[in-house]
Amino acid sequence: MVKVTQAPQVAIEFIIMLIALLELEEWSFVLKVNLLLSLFFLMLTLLFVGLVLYLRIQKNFKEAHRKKLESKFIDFANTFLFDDSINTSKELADFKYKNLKSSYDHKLLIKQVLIFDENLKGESTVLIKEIFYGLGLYDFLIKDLNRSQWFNKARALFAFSKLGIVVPDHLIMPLLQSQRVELRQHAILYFLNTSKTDPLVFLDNLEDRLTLWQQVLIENSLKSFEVEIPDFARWLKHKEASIVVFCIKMILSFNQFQNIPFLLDCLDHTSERVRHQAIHVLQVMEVSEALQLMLAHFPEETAANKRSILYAIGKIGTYQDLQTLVPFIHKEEENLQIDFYKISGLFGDEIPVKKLLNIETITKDWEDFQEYSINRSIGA
Amino acid sequence: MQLNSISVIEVFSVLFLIYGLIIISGYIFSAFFSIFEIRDYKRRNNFQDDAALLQSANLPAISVLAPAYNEEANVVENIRSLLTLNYPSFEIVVINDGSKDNSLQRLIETFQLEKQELIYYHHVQTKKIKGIYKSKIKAYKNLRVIDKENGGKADALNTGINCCIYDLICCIDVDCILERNSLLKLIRPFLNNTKRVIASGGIIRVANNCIIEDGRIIEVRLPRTFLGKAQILEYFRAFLMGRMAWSRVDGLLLISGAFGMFDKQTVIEAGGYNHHTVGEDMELLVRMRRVMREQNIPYTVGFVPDPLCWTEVPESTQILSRQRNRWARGTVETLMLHKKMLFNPKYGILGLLSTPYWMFFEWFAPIIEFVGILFFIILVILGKVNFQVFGIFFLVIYSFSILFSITAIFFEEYSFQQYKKPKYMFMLILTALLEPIIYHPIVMWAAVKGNIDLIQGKKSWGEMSRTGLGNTGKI
Amino acid sequence: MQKILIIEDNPMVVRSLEFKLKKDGYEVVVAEEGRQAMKLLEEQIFDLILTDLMLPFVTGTQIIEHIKKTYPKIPVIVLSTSTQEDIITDAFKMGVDDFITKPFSPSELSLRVKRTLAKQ
Repeated sequence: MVKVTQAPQVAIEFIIMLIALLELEEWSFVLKVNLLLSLFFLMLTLLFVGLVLYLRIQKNFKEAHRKKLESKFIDFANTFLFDDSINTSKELADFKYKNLKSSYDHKLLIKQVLIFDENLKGESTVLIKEIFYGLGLYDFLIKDLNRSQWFNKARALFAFSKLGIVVPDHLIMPLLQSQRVELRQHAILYFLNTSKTDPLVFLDNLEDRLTLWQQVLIENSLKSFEVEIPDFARWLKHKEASIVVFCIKMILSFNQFQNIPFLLDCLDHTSERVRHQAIHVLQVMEVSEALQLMLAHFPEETAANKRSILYAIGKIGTYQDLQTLVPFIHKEEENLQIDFYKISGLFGDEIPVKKLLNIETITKDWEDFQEYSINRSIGA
Repeated sequence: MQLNSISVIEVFSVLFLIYGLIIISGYIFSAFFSIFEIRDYKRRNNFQDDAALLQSANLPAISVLAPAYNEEANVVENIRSLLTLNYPSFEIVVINDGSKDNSLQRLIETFQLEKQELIYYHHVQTKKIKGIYKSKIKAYKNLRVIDKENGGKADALNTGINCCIYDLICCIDVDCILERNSLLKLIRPFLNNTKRVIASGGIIRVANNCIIEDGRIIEVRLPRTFLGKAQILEYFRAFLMGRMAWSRVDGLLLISGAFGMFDKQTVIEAGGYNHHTVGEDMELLVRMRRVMREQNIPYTVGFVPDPLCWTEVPESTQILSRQRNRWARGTVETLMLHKKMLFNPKYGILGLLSTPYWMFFEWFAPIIEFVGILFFIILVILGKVNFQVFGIFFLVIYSFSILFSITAIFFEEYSFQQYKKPKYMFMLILTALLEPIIYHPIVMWAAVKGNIDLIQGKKSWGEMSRTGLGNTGKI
Repeated sequence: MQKILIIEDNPMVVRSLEFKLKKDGYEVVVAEEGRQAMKLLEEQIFDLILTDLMLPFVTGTQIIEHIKKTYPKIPVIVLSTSTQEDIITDAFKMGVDDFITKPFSPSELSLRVKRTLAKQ
């Protein structure tokens, strides 16, 4: 259903309100007001029509201009990057003189420079920066950074941090305390991208939750800049669970196998989400010694984590491991039983569960199966 | 006798007058809220970093649930285009809701599906599943097809919830056209918030007459018919003004069933889709919000104004009326199911603003309007109408309604400007002039009829309501 | 002159690749999306294909499968933003000859193109 707001209740009101005035001479004042209102609405309507027209013309003009300038710039940049025969400083000055007229032009080219920087690396990176400075984009952004509106500051910060360009600290420091979450976020990223050592030092004092979005951005920065990758074990004891979760993910992303013992400790963490992430990462890293710990924790774990443990067994355990958990999956934990069946399937035809399994009567079957499997282990 | 009738008229008149003022001020407020929300959104997203998102292996995986009922003509093409969505990790779960045509057969042949073992969760009670299929081909490894007994859209979605593997679900209409980055955009609220995000929704756009190739919009065009164009205006008003404003105060009650993302755990806790109502999408979100509120869990619902999802709207009066009839019933059913929330301060914005708004603006408005017209006709017959007065009042309301539509067109120009040809803009303005007189009465009557049907106990139209939309030969 | 087909939808990347590879002395043909690429493959003969994985209409995976089935002799180099291991392994399993991640170094790319062509 796509529910759509009713049109302004045109018909009703007009009819009804007018009824109010039927044969009531003394209300003629209301009539006058209404007449005035209609005129006012109509004028506003005309104003908006004008605005629409203006916006349309302006946007069309801008769009055509954008296409032209972008195309020119791409040609220029490619020549600059790949043609060794040109006089670089002359070309830069030429291009700047001919094409960079308005602040809109500057903004367009900053975007383009960012696109180039995002897609190219190696020898091109230095040349792209040369273009950036040469066209005066640096100066333009410094001005932006000093402007009062947050979105101008944010754009400048974003560009500087994407390009890894260092600007005087005193321009950025205050932004870490900004009221706007967007500015704070960009400031963090800026420091992260421009610091050569200890890029994540800000985590030490961070008290807020690290959102997934921030995590993705930080990871992306670490991967795309030549910074020293910190040892993520450092924050595994952080009191903010989301930071611990992030570090566990990063231990996997950056293959810090030396931190596996610390990950094992995380299986005892008080936060469910931390334990969850640890189970997952240990499974992906194929740490088989973690399995015994997980099995031992299984009875006390939450439903979601029990499930993860089952899947970890599927990846790094054996059917016997799975079997030991049968008594701890209770008959009302129907979804867990389904996970159990799914995982058993992975171990192939060793399993008699499929014969027992009838999806309609799964709980009943589970009791039978529990009995069966306990008897079997006694018998063996 | 004479005196009596005048006082009745006066009471009525004053009531209607107050009602009209409330509605007008409501619209003005929503326009203001919207413009600020759109401006902020534009500023926030001026510079964004989708590339960083795409590269990350740490984004939550999404299960896209696509219920299909008798969609043989388009289902293969639509699934193909769904499979090329831009997102690092997702699965497409197609739920064949007991189609009577060859939908399933076509899917099996095209994607070389083979039957899988029948193991799935039982989060929500559903109709029987006949088979679960996966493809033999690597390129389609993200595809899963569920074949089940017919049970309606809500039941199909519930089945999808039982059979999908990821924690985020994205429910779509299989005949919708999604932009390539739609999942990336729609997931943003989930990534950004420090509160628990239970759902996020987007703007629905009208696909009629657009040029579509391989399940993608190549060129945006205006629908040919007046009915189609009028709905474009309606969608502008509803999404760019209505929903934007509601999302600013976090009071959204509806995420369109055509395209919405949900936290699976919360959906399950709330009990899944309700198959007893025809407005299952609205009912679900209201119930989820209610459950959160009652458990005192801080939460939020996200809204993304980018054009992400395009859908075919009905262009015949009959089908349109049927759709609006169903929506009206859906609204009333939802409000009745959750009448406890109405005016209840315990539910915050939801109880004091959202549900009353829906009651007055969506439910009552057409009825009051209809009664008003009847009243007017009676007065005309009795010869009690002063046509000069009538003219002036007509003018004020008419000019206001045009102003409102034009503002919506302005918002569109300001924000996304999808209708590029200048001709389109003039046609939209013209439509805005005619719509209150030609189009509005149709939808109003359909809504009134919906209420009548509901009272007469017409529960659901089952198949008819499912096939009412789409399948009009596009793609 | 050896002919290279570039399948890529980012105009900046396309034009840089075009510029660089033309300078290296190749003939370059560009397809901005999958279907166009398939059509070009039917009409012309290429010595090498350079493709992105995320494309409109037809995904890179589908294109690679198609190429490897229909034109098994043409070497394929993937140019992708993806650094996920499973995606890279999947690509090599499908018979891709090289996998270059974005951001890429143009000189390195031209070297790898040369090397892949030399192997043939």
